[in-house]
Amino acid sequence: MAETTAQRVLILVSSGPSTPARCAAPFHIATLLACMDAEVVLYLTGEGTQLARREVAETLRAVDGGEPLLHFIGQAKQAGARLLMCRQPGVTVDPQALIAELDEISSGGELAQMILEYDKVLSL
Amino acid sequence: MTLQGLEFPAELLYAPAYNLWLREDADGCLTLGLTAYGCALYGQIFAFTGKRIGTRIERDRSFGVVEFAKAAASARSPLAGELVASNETLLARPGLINQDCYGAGWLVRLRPYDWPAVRGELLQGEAALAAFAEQMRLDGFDPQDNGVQVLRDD
Repeated sequence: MAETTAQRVLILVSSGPSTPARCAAPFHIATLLACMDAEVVLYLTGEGTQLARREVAETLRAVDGGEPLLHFIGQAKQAGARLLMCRQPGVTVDPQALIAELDEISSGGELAQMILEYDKVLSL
Repeated sequence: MTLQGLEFPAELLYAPAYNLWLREDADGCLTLGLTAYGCALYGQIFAFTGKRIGTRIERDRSFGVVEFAKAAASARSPLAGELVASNETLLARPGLINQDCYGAGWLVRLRPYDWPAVRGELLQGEAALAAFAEQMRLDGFDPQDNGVQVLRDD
């Protein structure tokens, strides 16, 4: 069972501030996958795009007393995951309000392309 | 042998950059585990998950993932080989890694592809201690701050 190439995993993150308990898991799973040498992309879409806002990432907690979301995002990034956010037509985004961990703002078409190309696609 | 209060058995081989110890077994396979220094850095380990038996592990690639408080880290191999065993006891008792990292808390066994070539790159005895001392210096390691302790899972 040779591992010649890294598996590519796309994680769609559509949970947001309305369901804080669901927000840390995608980033932790991404960390574990990257630690297993998978090539991981986290793609924030829908309400998940709110997680790229610094004020949200620094304050939102999945559990009371737990680490803020930014901690889990940082872990995933440190492990090698990439973080993309869906461009929202008609919505003006202030780059200064976004977390530095965000790699790219991407289009829906690019997301569709990745869904077709990646080995695994998870929606969390 | 001890360093900063941490044990490093003299009979084992070490890959300090990976925080791993290695033991050559009678069947030609290698047993790998986390060193006491690795345990001190991670703190209490909640889980170790090895890759599937039979996986071909390339040098410097992951053979598993270690989960600890608030984080996770890749366990990378200092040599290429086939993964022939993963310590299944750790599934139920991951605390064994902290309690007995050189014994019951071993992580995986590998069948190396080119052991003679790699053997000379691993360190033993005083050379290993010196390498770990340098690594601790670079890491700014302070055993008082890193909670070196025996942790129990029962």
